[in-house]
Amino acid sequence: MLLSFQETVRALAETLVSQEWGHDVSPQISERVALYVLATHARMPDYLRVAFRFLTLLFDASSLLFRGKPFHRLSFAQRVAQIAWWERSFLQFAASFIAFHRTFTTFGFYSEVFGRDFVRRGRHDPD
Amino acid sequence: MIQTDNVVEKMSSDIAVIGSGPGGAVTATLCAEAGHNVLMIEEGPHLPLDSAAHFSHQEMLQKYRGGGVGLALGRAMIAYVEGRCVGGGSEVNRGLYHRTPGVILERWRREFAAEGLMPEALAPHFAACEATARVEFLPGDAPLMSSRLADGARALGWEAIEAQRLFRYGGPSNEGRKQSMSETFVPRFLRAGGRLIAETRVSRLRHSGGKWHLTARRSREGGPARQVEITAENIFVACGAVMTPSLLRRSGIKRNIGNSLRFHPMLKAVALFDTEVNRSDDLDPVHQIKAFEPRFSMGCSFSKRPTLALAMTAHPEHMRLVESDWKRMGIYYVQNMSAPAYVRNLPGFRDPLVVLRHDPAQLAELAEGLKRLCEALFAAGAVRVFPGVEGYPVLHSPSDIAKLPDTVRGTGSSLTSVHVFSSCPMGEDRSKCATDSFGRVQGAEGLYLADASLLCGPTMVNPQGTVMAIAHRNAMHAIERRFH
Repeated sequence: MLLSFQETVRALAETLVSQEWGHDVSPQISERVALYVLATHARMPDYLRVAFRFLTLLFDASSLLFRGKPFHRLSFAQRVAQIAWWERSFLQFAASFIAFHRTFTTFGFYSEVFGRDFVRRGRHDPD
Repeated sequence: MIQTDNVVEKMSSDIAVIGSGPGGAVTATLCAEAGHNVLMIEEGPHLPLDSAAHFSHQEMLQKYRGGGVGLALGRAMIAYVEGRCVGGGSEVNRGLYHRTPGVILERWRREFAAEGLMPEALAPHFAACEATARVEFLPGDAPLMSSRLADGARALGWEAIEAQRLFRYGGPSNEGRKQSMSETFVPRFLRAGGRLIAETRVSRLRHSGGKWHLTARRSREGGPARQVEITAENIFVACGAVMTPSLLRRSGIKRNIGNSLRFHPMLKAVALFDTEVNRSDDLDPVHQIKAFEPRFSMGCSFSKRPTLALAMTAHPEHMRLVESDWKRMGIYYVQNMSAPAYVRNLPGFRDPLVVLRHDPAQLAELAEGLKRLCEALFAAGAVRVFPGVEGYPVLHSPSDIAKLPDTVRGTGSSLTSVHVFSSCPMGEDRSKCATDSFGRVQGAEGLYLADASLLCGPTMVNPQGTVMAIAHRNAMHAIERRFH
């Protein structure tokens, strides 16, 4: 079962979005949030990028032992359980890894849904 | 993308200015207007001020270094941001403006033997910069979420002020125009005949044959990267307080370089009020509490739903309030002065590592500041306060403030900073300074620094005014002395 950095980031973002805001969120919005998180990964300082790439693959692989599948191939419920497991871990790097994705997913999601807030009404926004 | 100068494999100029933020843009402008052939080199793209909405995720990807991811590592960690585009930090900050407080200048004179840093000596340089990058108070009343902070402070007998911004208000709905470098000094530089190349990163400096040789790489998005060799008689390095020491150290220039980087570490809290304080047509908040300076200061942050959500990540169980009650919510901050950090290049990596020293006293001071901020917010009419630190309780009344810890652990993403400086301090004390009092690097002919790295320590207030005025003073000093 192949590990995949891109698919793991995408699956993580989609799961966090659905977990927080339900399954009614349009797939297009989830996809744009995932692309934003991927773009942030691509721009971050190179030594952090290497560390995050390694952690992402470790996260993807960590379900192989118990579930027989990488994270990005798990069901929604299984993904939620694995995120919670890492989030509660006594290992600081595991909790920080999830905190990073939760932070950027939250900002990305609210920016997609409420992006009009960034523009003062009366200038460009008709509503 | 704005068209900039044609880039060829070999370029030369009298003066090369590396970086186009507040320090670099002011310096380059004065040198070009003095008749010198000046080339300004910027690593990031040249974009219009409104290429992306301010504080949006698109802006973070377009104009922030690292997509907005910068981390000072250590037992306490600070997540910091810097600009990476023509105009640098001036494009992405809020532009709150202060001249350098006298108490700070006095400290720099005393501790670093920095010459000529009297308020009266700097005043003409501040005024000259303010004539191009205009500074204004809000016209009319401030947004309620801003004035509420001042009301709370005054109810407690604390001094609060309305800060000016680098902003020209006006227009049909007072939308105005931010006075960033791309709107002010960069056009003035180009009018004076200066040349600007963007998306070009200088990786190394070398001095030989009486000239500086810069190795640079031009990388346009979607286009092939190519090497550029630039020759100049004099260089001003203005890449920002992290990248300037990184470039110098990579070039073998290391004396007092990158050993004393400082931040204004910040903690945030979200207040929920009993009435609406936050409207979609509000201007940016501007009030600040000054009563506890220089130990710590407090103010208001940009508080639209996406940034409110970011500030509420420490309280995920209350995140839905952002959707239902955002008009009753505002983000506030307290900041103080960090311990020194050092900047080092890692073998095999392009980006420098920043490591923060541990200072328990500073963290305890910040924790005290957070308690004071919560006091002010309750005095301002908040009915709930959400401290922006994971694991901290939601506060329902002033008596809950006692539940907050007496120090900040600084793990996770609770500590942030938007001000970075002091990595290569100026002054005559050669044991701790990287340059003389006017930005000339010790033992390196024709090499000057012109950005926030020169500042001797934290400014306590937004440093952009200080950076511009010092750059203005130092550039005039170098021009008058014909760079000798």
